[in-house]
Amino acid sequence: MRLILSSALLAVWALLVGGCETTPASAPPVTASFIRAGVRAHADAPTLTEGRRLFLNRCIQCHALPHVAKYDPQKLTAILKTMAGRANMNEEQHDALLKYLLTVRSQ
Amino acid sequence: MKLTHIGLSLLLAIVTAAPAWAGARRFTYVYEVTTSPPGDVEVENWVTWKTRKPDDHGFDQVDFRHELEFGITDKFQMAVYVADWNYHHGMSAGEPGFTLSGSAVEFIYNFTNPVSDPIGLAAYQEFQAGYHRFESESKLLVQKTLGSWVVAYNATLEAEWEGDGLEEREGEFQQSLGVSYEINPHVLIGVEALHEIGFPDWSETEDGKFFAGPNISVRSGVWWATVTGLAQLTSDGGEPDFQLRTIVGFSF
Repeated sequence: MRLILSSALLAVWALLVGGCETTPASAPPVTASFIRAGVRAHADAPTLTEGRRLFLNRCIQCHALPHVAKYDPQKLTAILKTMAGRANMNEEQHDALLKYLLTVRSQ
Repeated sequence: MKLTHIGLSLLLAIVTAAPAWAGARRFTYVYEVTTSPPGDVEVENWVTWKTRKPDDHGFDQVDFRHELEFGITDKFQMAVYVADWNYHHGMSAGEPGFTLSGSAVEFIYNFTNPVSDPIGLAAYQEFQAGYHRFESESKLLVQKTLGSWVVAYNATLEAEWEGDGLEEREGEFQQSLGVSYEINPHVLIGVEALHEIGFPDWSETEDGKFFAGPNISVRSGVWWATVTGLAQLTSDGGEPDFQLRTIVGFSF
């Protein structure tokens, strides 16, 4: 019984994990083309990199990563203002995350 | 009288909690690999009601934990369990009444991200001390997040020392698995399962015990609460047939 249950648990785990994507579409990596797009949001490479890091580390603690394309820039800015407090972000981090998300949205 | 005691205990634990989401938990028996952001301080109140054992149908116990959690770095958090105590009743529980189990300190270090890395990994260590009692609990935390789905697995090794000279020793190996789905950012549902094997005096191996059940997590405004109900699917006479755990969180 013990062996069966242990094996079942590990098997379920392996099935779920196998073949999974590691880069979510909602958090594209900061590539050269992404950085060029970031110019419109007045963001440089380090800012966009930090923004992505915050998106992947702070936001996932509480909820799934949203697809930001469905929000207009004003709505996105307003939502992030609330979320930044809950995620314990300072102004610099808030700014980096907003610029990253606006760049994602622009793509 | 029994139901009044239990009801009042549950109500007390819930109303002493207050608001915030920062370290909101999807599960109550399974740990996730993510850690609280640096500078974050959170209070979590735990209530676990255990009822009815195969060998003791009149058994009831309500366990309480009061946790203060601190985000230290982006990868490291620690927590203090200020007091672990319980109210117990039943033939196998001894004299009915309250017992203070002890206090504990916990550390979690995150290694990889459950979204962007192939697998999320973290290490957990807890030390608990009480009257003539010391316990060490080590866990490997594993998690994968796929959109609205979170799958988490913990492997736990527990060692306990009890008695005047801490000469009584026992251990336990536990595996736990949780699956959670986010309906919307305010409501998540899922299931949790536990498999435990005890090692009395580290010289014997007990038969495994298996528990499983659903959970729900809600977040509203500035507070969150997660509830899990577990039923024993084996027939171990020393374990409760049913347990219900509620964790309510608040950060400031």
